[in-house]
Amino acid sequence: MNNDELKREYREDLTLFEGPWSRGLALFFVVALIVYSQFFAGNYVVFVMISIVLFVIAAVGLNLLVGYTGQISLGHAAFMAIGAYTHVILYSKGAPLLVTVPAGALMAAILGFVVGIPALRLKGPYLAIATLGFQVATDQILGRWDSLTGGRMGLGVPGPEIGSYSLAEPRTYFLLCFAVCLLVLVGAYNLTRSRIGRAFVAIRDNETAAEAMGVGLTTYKTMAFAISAFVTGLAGALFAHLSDRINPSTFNLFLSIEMLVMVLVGGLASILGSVLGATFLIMLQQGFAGASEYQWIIVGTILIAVLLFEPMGMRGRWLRMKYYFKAWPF
Amino acid sequence: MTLFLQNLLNGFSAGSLYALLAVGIVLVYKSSEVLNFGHGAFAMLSTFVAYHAAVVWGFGLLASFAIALAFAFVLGAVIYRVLLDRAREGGEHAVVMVTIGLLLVFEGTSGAIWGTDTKAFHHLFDELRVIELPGGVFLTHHDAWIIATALTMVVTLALFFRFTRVGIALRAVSQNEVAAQLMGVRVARVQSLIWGIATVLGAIAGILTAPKQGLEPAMMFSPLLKAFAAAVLGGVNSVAGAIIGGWLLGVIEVFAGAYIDPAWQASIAFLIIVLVLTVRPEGLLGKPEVKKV
Repeated sequence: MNNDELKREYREDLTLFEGPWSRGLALFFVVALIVYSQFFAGNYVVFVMISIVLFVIAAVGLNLLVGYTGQISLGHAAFMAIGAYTHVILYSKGAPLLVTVPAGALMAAILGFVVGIPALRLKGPYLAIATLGFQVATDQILGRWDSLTGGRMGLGVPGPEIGSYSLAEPRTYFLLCFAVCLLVLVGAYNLTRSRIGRAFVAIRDNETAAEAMGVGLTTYKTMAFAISAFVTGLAGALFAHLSDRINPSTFNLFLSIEMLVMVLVGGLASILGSVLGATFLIMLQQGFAGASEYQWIIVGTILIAVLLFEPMGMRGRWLRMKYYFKAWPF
Repeated sequence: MTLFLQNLLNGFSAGSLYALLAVGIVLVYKSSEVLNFGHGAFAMLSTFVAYHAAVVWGFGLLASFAIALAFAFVLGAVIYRVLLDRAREGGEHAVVMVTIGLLLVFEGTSGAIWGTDTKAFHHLFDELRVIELPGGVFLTHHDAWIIATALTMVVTLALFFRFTRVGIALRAVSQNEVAAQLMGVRVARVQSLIWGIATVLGAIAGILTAPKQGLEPAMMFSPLLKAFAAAVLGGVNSVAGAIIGGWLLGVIEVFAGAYIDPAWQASIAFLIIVLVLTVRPEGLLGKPEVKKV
């Protein structure tokens, strides 16, 4: 066995990056993406990069719930919608962006907590139906509450500004989104290794055993919903600035399904998987921008194929390749 | 009073469609523990086959329906045998997501073949002809067909499950797969048979919906959501519950539209889902699932 697989010190267990290469590789990617977006990419490419970054955030949020805690949700687009609407409504009234974006996420978290309460009694398919109901109900309420949300017409989104510094240019907006994304990635990764993350995994693997070991189901399940909704709501708030208007049909059931596909195709219970899955799906959509029917056929086929043949998703492939090359001559 | 009866009848007719779909969902769930989100898409695809046979190939209407129902049966049975039986090994999430994947594939396929615009498909009955019933209540020809078909299917299914050998095997599988297998029932075969029957029921609902709503890839999506509500209301593991839930939901919807606010008629179903799942997750007639350690 290779020596550096054995952890000798507590510090090694705490570190974000394992081995000398991964830290350099991560740094290289961050720098390369920033340099590319600022100096080389055209507006369209930057726009796609922002979408990818935002859906990475959303997918990580969903993965905390589906992958780590084992609770399915068909209603995550609704959390995005709540984040986006809260942010836009407050921001239009003149509150600063750095307050309203977290406020949107917080609002989503509160509703996530509320959805988490009935979810305590529901399992598997029942939970899928309940969250589906939440998704459709949110859509209906946003579409009808004309005085607050502008109904089906939606709301106009003012250009993003921090103080007097405008972020309307996609390049500069990308920097903000990218920074938030990195924060979320590090935060989520650390969360999954903390006491809370271990409680989530325990609930996923065996609820009864987890409860017997002292994991409070009520606390941790509602917490999982709230944290997951918070992260997804954050993505939603930032997502609002990608177009001039937001309306309820942007955040429809199919967006929820797309996010689940990102998580499943990328790999359940893996932060890296969510990054890969979101990147893959957004790129695929851009490739099939004109032919949505074929896009659905391909997405559906990939989803089914992954579930049947590679339940660990793209991350599973990646790990298998890594181990293959590590042990290469043998 | 007349208005009340009229609303009741309208609700009953809408509910009959929900009931037909909900029975399919419940049959599938009882036999193989799969909540089929693709049920509506299966029905939509079968309805398109009927349309294709009638309009493009020029078959007679009854022959086209026969072709569509045969297609539906084979589709349901084969999909279960090839995909879902395997997916069940991956756990609950995998199963739900595979059915969602099927929904995407089928909606995409029908959009690619037939286009995404809405097509008119008028067939056996005249939507505009109205029958006057005693009491001053009116029933459209279309609604009469829907109610009659639903009642016929319900009675046929009840007799089938009660008295035929296959029907008894189906009930045995839904009660306990392992025990049924030990008694010599070929479980996988029986399950694909149920999938076939459920898909046929869905196809019938689709064909009945088509004249009113027109044909398009997402045509069965909203009825499917209503059918889920109906199934949850009645109990996802009770066939009788699904039927009663369907009728109840139809009536509640129409009454809510008539007496509260028409704008909220579409949302009632989801209110019911949330209420039922919070207060009584097993539904009106369902049995609570007991978890064993």
